[in-house]
Amino acid sequence: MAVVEVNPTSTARAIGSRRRRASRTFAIGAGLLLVITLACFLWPPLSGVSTTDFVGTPLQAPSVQHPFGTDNFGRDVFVRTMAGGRLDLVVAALGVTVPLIFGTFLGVVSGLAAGTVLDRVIMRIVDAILAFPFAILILALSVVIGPDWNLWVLPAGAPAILVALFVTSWSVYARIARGETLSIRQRDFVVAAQVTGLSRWTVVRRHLLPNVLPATFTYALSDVVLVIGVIASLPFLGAGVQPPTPEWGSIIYDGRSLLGQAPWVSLCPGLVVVATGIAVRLMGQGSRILSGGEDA
Amino acid sequence: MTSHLMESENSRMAQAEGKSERGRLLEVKDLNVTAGPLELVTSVDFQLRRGERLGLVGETGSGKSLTCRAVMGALERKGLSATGSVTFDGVDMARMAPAAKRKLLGREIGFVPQSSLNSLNPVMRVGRQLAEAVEHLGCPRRDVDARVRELLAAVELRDVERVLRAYPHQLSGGMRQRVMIALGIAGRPQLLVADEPTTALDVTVQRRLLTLLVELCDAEGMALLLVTHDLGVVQEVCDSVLVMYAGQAMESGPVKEVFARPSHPYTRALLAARPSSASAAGAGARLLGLPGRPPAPGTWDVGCRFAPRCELRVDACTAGSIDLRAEDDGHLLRCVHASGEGRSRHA
Amino acid sequence: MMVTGFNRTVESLIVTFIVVTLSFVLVHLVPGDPARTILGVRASPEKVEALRAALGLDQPLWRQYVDFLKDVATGNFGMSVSRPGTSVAELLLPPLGVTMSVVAVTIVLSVVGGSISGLTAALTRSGGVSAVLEFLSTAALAAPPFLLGLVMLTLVAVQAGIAPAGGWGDAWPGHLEYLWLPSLALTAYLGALVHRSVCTSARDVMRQDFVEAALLRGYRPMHVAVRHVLPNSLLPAISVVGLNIGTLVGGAAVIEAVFDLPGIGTQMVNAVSQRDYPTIQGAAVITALLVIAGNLIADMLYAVVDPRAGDHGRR
Repeated sequence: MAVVEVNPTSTARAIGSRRRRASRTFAIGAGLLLVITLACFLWPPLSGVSTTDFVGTPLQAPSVQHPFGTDNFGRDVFVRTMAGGRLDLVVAALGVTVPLIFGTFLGVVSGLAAGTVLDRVIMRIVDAILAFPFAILILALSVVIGPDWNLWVLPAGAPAILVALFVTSWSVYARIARGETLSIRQRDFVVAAQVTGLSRWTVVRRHLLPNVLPATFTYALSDVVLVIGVIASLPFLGAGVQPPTPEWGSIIYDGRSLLGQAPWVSLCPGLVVVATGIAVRLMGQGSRILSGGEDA
Repeated sequence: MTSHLMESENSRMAQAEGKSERGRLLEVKDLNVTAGPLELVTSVDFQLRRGERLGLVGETGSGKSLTCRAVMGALERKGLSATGSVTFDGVDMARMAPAAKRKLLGREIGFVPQSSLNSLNPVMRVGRQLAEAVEHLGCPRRDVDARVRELLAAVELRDVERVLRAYPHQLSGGMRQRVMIALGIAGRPQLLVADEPTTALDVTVQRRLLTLLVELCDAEGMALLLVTHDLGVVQEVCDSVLVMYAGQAMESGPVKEVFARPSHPYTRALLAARPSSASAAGAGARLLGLPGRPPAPGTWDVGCRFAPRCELRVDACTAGSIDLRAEDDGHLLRCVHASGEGRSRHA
Repeated sequence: MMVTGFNRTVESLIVTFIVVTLSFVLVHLVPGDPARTILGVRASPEKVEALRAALGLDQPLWRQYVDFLKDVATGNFGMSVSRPGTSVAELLLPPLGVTMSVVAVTIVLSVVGGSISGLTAALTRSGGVSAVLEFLSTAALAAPPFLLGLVMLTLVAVQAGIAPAGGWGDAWPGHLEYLWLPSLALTAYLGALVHRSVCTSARDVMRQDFVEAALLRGYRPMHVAVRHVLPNSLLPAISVVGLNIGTLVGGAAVIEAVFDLPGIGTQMVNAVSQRDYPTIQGAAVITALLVIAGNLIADMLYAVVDPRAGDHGRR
């Protein structure tokens, strides 16, 4: 029932303003994330205070000198939060990027080979991995792989978490990439490219990947929030990055008994976690609209 | 079917005239519909007496659906606004409180939307949706089932048990439309507004439903405001007709009069485009399709909006705005030409 | 509907088999000797050998795999290492009930709360209400549940004393007193997802013809919203809940550790600190099975609730 014939130019304008708003959302999120990242990497060396330095009376409330106050050992919570953030951000970035690339690749392969044994095997493994509760799977894997294992600059616990993320997280990307590949494969321009005689690899590179990557990248942004959340949860389950290295989760975990008298020790790092989450979520919301999906 | 319609014609007209002294049922005056700065319907007037049947005809985008929604006060939801007055049974509907208007809808004014799967709640059984309507109208709980069955019988739905238990998608298009009609007449309204009620259906089903609609109107003494793009339907069903083009009334009057002496070039083009008249004129007279499309809202000229597609266009057509003027008794026309002029070229 | 139901069940069984296989791989293909890892570097070789025998690690790998499959099929997940003499099943079953209660209460709260707020946001389109709800849902999805749990524990339980600060009741419905606050913390996450799903689809549904038709029959807008818009908008939310059961169970485990509820999470803390591999493995398998069952139930529910699903294939 076409009650109103929508004017095509007004529709185009609506889409244009929608895209503009989406770019702005993305930019705000990216800006916030950049600020947090810069603070994490620059503040600890610039301030000259180390995460273990005793800077004053224990349990000082937040002040200009110590924006997040001090903990029960008289350490500067802001410095600890920023220093800890480096680890969370690096582990999250690696733990999302590697599975993103690997999973997208497997998903495209699976989608191109849809219906074959290879496709079925990959997809059933994906189903199985996705059946495990993420937090519990990462916990179990990181414990089995070795919570005491340290590697290069990564402190004990972090490499195990990374490996755990590598062997599990690719599954979602594979599922998304396969779905996108299946739908794009049918479209005219891909069929046309194949008929024209372009090599399979050229078709994948020029036509499939540019369409599949925005979808997996958009998911990757919400995955960052999930991964940071899980890394920070692990101390509560008795695992995670081992002390004395500070990390958002462990700082919050250590401060939980002080919540009554010095809530800032836990809550200030918590706020940074939430701010990071909001930043990445905003990027995700913008990216979802820009990549042509629905806002949900 | 036609013969049957003819039979009922005389008695019904007498009935309608008998009621007419009690005043008009619906009066629409200077109705304008706008979407922001965009004008969609310009100054439409018409009246409807009790028991009268009016057909609103035009191509897609002519504003006929909007006009009928304005009558029902259902424009705001779509971000549109209407000015002018819609008077129902002596009351200005624009001045009515929402609650009072809701009392009118369903009880005094029934609505039958275009036949489509989307007009019924897809996850609610048909029986429940009918019961809901009946309950809403204040039917006592123990009589609900009987009244629902009565309604289904009135719209000649057989296989009642299956229909009641079915979900909308499990029924055929024709059956769904019968259900829509049953919902529309549930409150025994004085006016039934039907927006292209048979458009999506095949021709035989269309005919049967139109007959049904006419019979129901007669039986309940309902007036009918029928929106359609098919002049043939209007000729069979309605007493009067209003031809719309690009948001304006182009020609209106009693069906007999307008169909006997179609005066606007657009009306004549519509009549010529009817499949029935084409076949009547013989195989040689192919559909006299109009070249071009109706202009989009916002691109309307000052003068005659049909001028760009009109074969009889003269300079006067685009010189300035053209008013509706009375041709004969009740026959209105918006054209610079006199009613007789140039008819031979189309007919 | 019967056919899709059957296919889904077979599919779930295959996935279950792979899940069990993966969890076998999880422990056995990792470099190093699990027995040595469990006991630590300083344990005597005899002790390590004894544990290897007890865990069946001295058997050839294929043999261990077959035994593991048999055991799991009969509900036997081996013996706990941290609690000698207790089987993993015995150890995990009571906590599993707690975790499932947390998940169940969370789903109920999320669906009720998310529907109300999602419908409200959809109905008040351009208002400030919808913007506030939008921001709240973004924030709720950005905050890890354990953090919210921690804040709620401090504010509601410790400071205001409205809820007990952890622990567990003696019986139903007394458990609810301990359950509602942790579940509320988890609801922030799932509720926000349900909110978004309901809000998006309600906006879609409101544009549909049957809503206009209902309004033109003179029904009150509130009646139309609750009886017509809401049921249609809730359908996608069923899938949302189904897809997030895994995240939910994981979140519940962490929340339990925060609130000190005797659930899977608290049991995991114990098992992790003692390197109790069989228990960790058992917990992973059992929770995965729960998730598979949850997904299956969600799919079946969708088919039951949406009358169109059965006739046209799933979704």
